Amino acid sequence: MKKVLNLLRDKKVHYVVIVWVLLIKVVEIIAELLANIELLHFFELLGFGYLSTTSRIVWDALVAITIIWLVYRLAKDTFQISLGIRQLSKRALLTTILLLVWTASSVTAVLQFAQALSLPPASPQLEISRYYAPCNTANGGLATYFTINDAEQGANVTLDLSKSVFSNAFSSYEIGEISMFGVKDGGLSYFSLKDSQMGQKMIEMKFFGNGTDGLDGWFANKIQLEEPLKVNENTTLILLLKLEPSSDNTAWTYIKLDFLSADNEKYSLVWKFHDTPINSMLYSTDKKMKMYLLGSSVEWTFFQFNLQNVFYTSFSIHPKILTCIEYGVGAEADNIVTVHFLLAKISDCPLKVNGELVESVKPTLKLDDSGILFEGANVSRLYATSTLKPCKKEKHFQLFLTKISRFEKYEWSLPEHHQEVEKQIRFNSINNSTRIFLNGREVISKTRVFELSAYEPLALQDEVTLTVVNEVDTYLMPIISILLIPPLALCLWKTFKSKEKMESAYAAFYF
Amino acid sequence: MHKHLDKFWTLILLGLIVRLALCFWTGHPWDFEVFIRVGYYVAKGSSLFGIYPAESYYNEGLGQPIFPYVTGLGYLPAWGLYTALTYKIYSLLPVSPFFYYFLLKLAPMLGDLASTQLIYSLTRIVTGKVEKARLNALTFFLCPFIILVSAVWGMFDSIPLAFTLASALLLLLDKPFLSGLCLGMGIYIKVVPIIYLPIHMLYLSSKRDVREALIHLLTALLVPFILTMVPLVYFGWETSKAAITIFSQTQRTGEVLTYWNLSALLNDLFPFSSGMLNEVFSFPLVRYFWVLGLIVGYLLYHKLQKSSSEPQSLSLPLKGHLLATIGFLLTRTFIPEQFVLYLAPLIIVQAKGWRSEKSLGWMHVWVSALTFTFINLYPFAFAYLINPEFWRTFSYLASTKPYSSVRYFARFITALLFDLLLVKILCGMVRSREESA
Repeated sequence: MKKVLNLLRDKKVHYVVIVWVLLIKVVEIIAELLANIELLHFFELLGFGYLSTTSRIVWDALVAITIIWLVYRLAKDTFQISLGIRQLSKRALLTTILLLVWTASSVTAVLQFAQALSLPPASPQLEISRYYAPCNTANGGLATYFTINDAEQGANVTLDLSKSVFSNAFSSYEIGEISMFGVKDGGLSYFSLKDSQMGQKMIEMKFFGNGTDGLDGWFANKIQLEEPLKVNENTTLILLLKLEPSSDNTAWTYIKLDFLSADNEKYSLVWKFHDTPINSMLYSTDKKMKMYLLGSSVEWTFFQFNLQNVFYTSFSIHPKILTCIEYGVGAEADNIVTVHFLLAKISDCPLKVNGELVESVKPTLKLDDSGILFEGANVSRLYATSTLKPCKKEKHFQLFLTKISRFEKYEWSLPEHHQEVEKQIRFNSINNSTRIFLNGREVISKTRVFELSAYEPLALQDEVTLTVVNEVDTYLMPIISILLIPPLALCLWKTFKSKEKMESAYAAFYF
Repeated sequence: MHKHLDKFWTLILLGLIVRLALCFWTGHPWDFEVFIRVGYYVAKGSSLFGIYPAESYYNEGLGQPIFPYVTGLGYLPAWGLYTALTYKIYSLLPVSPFFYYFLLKLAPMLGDLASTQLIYSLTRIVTGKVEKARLNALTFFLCPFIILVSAVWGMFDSIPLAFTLASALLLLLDKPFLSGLCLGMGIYIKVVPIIYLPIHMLYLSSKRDVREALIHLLTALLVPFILTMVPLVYFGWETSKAAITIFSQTQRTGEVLTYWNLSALLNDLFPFSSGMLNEVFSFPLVRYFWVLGLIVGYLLYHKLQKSSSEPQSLSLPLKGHLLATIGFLLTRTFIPEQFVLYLAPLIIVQAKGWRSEKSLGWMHVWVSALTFTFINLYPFAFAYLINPEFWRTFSYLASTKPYSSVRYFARFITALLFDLLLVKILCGMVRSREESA
């Protein structure tokens, strides 16, 4: 033992260790530099890019201490500069070191516990989405009732209009007067009614430009209504559309409505939707046409406008009848642009769900006894997403030698016929080190949402058990902290005892 | 063995017969299976450093399907090319796969023979005694551990060992260029002999001059470099993958014949500690602890060379080899059993005499290494080529508690004993140096 201690005091040994540590640092620096060269990426393997944050801090601190040690060693050996703690006895020195190590390990352990406790909960939500058929219709087919079986009362339900199926979704969709400019010949630009993959009827309109850059082209279909529509205070234009973006941000689509006022003057309102964000309005020179420029509509977007209100705010008079509907699509002629309308309807009342005006493609509502009442459009299949509450929730912590783990366990019982339902789990918070176990099997999810159907065997089970594990590495700090208490207490007790002895000896001397 | 030295050639023949009897039906279930499959794929045109398609890994009729797929080799191309050559020869002949296994082991067995001859020559040069030379040669050639590694396991370390010994011999015969060439060949076959290069440099600088030491260094490094680049360029293999394969050897976790295998025991007893153990083994100072071991080995040799009454003593470079090997074996976190081969000639040649040596000798070392090997892989598992059930039985025992825990514990104890033996040998060397000084 004495030999080992003597060896440790040997300055040559000090230099060997210093050279060793610095050599490794040099290897690391060279490896990192070479790894940046394209053909020498493999040098990365010799570096330490994989180190965890704690290891990295310890390694950098060690290198820093080694450099200080080298400076001190050189100063001592070359200039005989020496630093020493000579006034401390061996026991006092040991007590000080123990106290320092214990304080450092205790503080680190407390911080690690605090970190584990303050980790944001994953709070996963199991969302089930499916189509619902109407239970009942009323008001001439304009009001439709739905019952959502999968969700409990008071639960939030999100509807998705872009996936729902509407009947009579368009006030007119015939081919009328076609006009076009800057299009390629051969019928490549068109207006037609199509079926989507989900069984929805939709208007598809395409502008196929002739390839001329800088030239604005368009394709439009103007439909004169055989029976003009009377406009009353509730008449609403309901639109659900999606415009494919162009390569140079010049795409647009519009719907133009021609009205006759009480004195049979023709007025027009145009809603023009762009592929870039825009919010503006324009008047024609004769002030009889007003154009609302809106954007961006490259995702499914829902709008509804009260025609009488818009007309009045535009022209300060009331409209009498609606005579013509025109659809248009266009862009600079070096583009091909398609637009889809799922709803383009002049309705006698606005689209409402449970009495609330719909303002977005995915309205959210709280479920009550009566289910869902749809007004303003005839919905034949409603796509709704409800959140299933877990039937069991558990949270506990486990302390291992090297880490603190927080387990969050959730269990859900799935509704009947759940196999036809789309299920996904949405997490409030997960990070890169979060481990997720679905029905006992570890799954990898880098995003906050994952589809249950991706895990086919699990998706067929009637129960879903999800365990979310978050870990904080402790690197034995709590254990070190606890183990150091007895020797530290012993050292402190002995130190105080000898101090007391000395004080009593002094007291005896003075008395 | 003293009594039978007059039957030297009969004993050598006996050693060869034993090897031939064991070689064609045995093998290490992982290493030998890798050699069999690499030989097959490289001979069929795959890159030695590429990733083979997993579904083709096991080839019907060659080896055993005990692993669905195995990794490639972590060496420079020499051994991979040899395995491909043996497969080509085998595929040309209408013979059983056992002939392929025999060919794979032929080179290591010839390596044993070459090392034996070199031990004989080195002992004659160092001691000048024929009897002693014969005894040392037989001690090596008939050693059960040496036979196991080459003829049963199928590991080829005896070939780089032979080149290293040839290099040491040529160094003693004042032929630094040829010595560098041989060391370069040793490095080309397995990188391990590179650890002896600084010893050779120190010896040459002291005995001859720095210029010759530099020529030796350049030759020893250029030979493996050129011989590696030639097949890479010729076959169009990816240089980066070759480098990755070789660099990956610098970061092996604590395993096999070293006290570091405590990590495997801890992992078995406390599975949740694996995260921390990985953290420890990836820590720079642990990963490159062997660099410190080698630095200490070289410094001790330098001191030995300086204090030696005969600075040009023939046994000096061999002592240097021994110091570097012990420094390396005591500090590297991954020490496969076959590394013990590099110790064998160094201890044998320098031992004062069979049985008469009071200090710890080669027998203690190989007995502890063999014990460890049979704990690490139960002897019957080497017969997996005959019946894969031998492997499966071992695999079951090695992965089922409490057998696994007992195995890990026994492994740790025997590895610790082996390392203590090395420490004792090292201390003996330092003490004898102090005494002579």
